[in-house]
Amino acid sequence: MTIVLDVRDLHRIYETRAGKTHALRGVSFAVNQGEFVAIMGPSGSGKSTLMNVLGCLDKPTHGNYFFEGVDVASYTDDELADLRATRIGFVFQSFNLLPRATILRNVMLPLAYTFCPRAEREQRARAALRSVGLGEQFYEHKSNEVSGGQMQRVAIARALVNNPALILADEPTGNLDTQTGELVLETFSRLKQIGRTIVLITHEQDVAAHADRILYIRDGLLQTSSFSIAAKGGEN
Amino acid sequence: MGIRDLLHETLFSLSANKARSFLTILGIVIGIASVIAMTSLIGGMQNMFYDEMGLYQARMVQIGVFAERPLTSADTKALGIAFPEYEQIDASAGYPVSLSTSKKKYETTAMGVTGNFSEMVGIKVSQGRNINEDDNLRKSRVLVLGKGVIRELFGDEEAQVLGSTIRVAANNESYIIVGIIDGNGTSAYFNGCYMPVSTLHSRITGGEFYDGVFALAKEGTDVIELSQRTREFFMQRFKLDEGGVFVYSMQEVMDQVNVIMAGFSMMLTAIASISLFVGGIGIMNMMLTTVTERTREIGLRKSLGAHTSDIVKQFLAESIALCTIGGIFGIIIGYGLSWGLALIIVMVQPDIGNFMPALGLNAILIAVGVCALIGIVFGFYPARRAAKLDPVESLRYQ
Ligand SMILES: Nc1ncnc2c1ncn2[C@@H]1O[C@H](COP(=O)(O)OP(=O)(O)OP(=O)(O)O)[C@@H](O)[C@H]1O
Ligand SMILES: [Mg+2]
Repeated sequence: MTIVLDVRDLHRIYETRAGKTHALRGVSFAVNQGEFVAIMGPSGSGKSTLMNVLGCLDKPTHGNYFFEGVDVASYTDDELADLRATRIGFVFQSFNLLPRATILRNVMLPLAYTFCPRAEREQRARAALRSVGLGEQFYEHKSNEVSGGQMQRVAIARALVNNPALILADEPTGNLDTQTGELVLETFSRLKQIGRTIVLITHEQDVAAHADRILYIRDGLLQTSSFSIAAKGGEN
Repeated sequence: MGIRDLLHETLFSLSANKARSFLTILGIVIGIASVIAMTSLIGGMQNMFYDEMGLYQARMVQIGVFAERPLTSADTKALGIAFPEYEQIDASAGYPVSLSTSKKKYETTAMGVTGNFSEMVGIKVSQGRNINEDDNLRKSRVLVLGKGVIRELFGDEEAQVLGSTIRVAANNESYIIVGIIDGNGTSAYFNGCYMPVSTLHSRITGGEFYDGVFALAKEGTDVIELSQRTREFFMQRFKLDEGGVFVYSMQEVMDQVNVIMAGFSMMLTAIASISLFVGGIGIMNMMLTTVTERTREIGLRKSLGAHTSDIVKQFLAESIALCTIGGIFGIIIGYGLSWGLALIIVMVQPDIGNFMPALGLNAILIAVGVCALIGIVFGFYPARRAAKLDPVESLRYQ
């Protein structure tokens, strides 16, 4: 099995006027291709910080991150941008949609930074929106004219539109009712089946239960995860 | 990001802030409008100036001497032989005469002219014809008159007098009016009275002399240098010093006019630069505000894979578009303004004739180019600033 991401002894220290925050204190783990991993932990434990590093948006203060076998520290900023444009799909904790743009336009946005021909972009955006179960009637709405749950699905569609190898989702079901949440999770399961790797942050145990493996993080450190794998193994 | 994406994005974000965009570009609009209005008025004046001038004036050298004996056809012949650079040499002689009809009398100076004189100096007739070579050979008693003279003699400058006969003292012979010179009060030939120079010499003055010689240099000749050598030629021939010979080329005058125009343009440019600079600062200010307002958007774009250069391009395109739109509005308003001003000028000063502003394509292109440049110069810093934003920090920005 190929290892998609591999982090070793990650540290991230935020330096602010108020002082230093040691958000990650030596995190190490690896995720295989096609794996669905959930990350759980209390608020402020460093989940989003970790996600930003995994998504090549942020650089660790210390430690190494190997994405598809290459240490990302060796990439230039533009190469990292290309990586984000083509290999990684992001679902943010707050949706981060462009409020005045239509839903379709929002989903097409990442494709502007790839070599995807213009003609193909709309098709792909529509396909992505369909895959998260958002009806055609909303596509021309402004993104601030739909409900929170719909916004979340637009954000997920946007993450899927460039067919990324790795999908990073920061609480993608946090704003959804159980039914829609289920729909989103089914989408993730389907993506997993076609070989996509998924790392998902959640507070909810039953969401995490969809994952192959759960990582617990507390105060910037991973807790031993053997129990969750065992639990999962027991279920099968 | 391709150029079409860039255009889409630019239009999209500018349309979001129509009112603010409009207020921001006002400085540029006013700056460009004032320059364009002035430029097109100056262009109109230049056109009028060149229209007044004959086709050949740039190549023309005017010669006169202050000597014991007058200039004669012997001198012009000698000039033609010494300077093959002149393709044509004409001359004129003035003499006071009194013109009369049965009712009125008018004292003026009759100009005797050689065959191609009228064409060379650019006398245009609205009716009839100019004095020509044939008139000179036959020593015909014909006149070409300006409308001012016609007004004096017939009471109305528009009187239909072509073919009429008037008398010319000293010997009270009758002359036929064969041409009426075009142009109203502002025309240099409004009070003109022309006849063949041979007629003047044989019937009125009784002796041959020329007041002025008009020599036309061949195309491509250095007229200023040629007129210098011509001056020396006449100084020798008449044994005169520098002050006794008068050689004057229209080219020199035009060079001077052009120097004045260039000075005027420079002053205009200076004034425009100030207002455009202020306009540019306005653009920069708005772009900085935009960057701050759109921090989250910038963070998002970067996290979705935008290169630093994509962000730079996006914001530069916006400021260039803003400035260029401002410039285009400025050109339209400025051109409109120049027509308004021209109408006022014509109303206040009807003598000026049909004065029309003239705006060259050059001026338009330069104006648009300058605006685009302002967009680049003043948009660069905000665009750089946007591109340098850290994606994580930007996404957290409230
Ligand atoms: N940009 C930053 N500057 C300074 N400190 C930060 C920054 N981002 C996060 N932190 C701090 O780092 C720690 C981890 O934050 P992080 O956002 O990773 O938590 P989280 O696990 O995602 O929490 P939540 O579940 O509430 O989203 C917190 O103490 C937070 O205050
Ligand atoms: Mg978080």
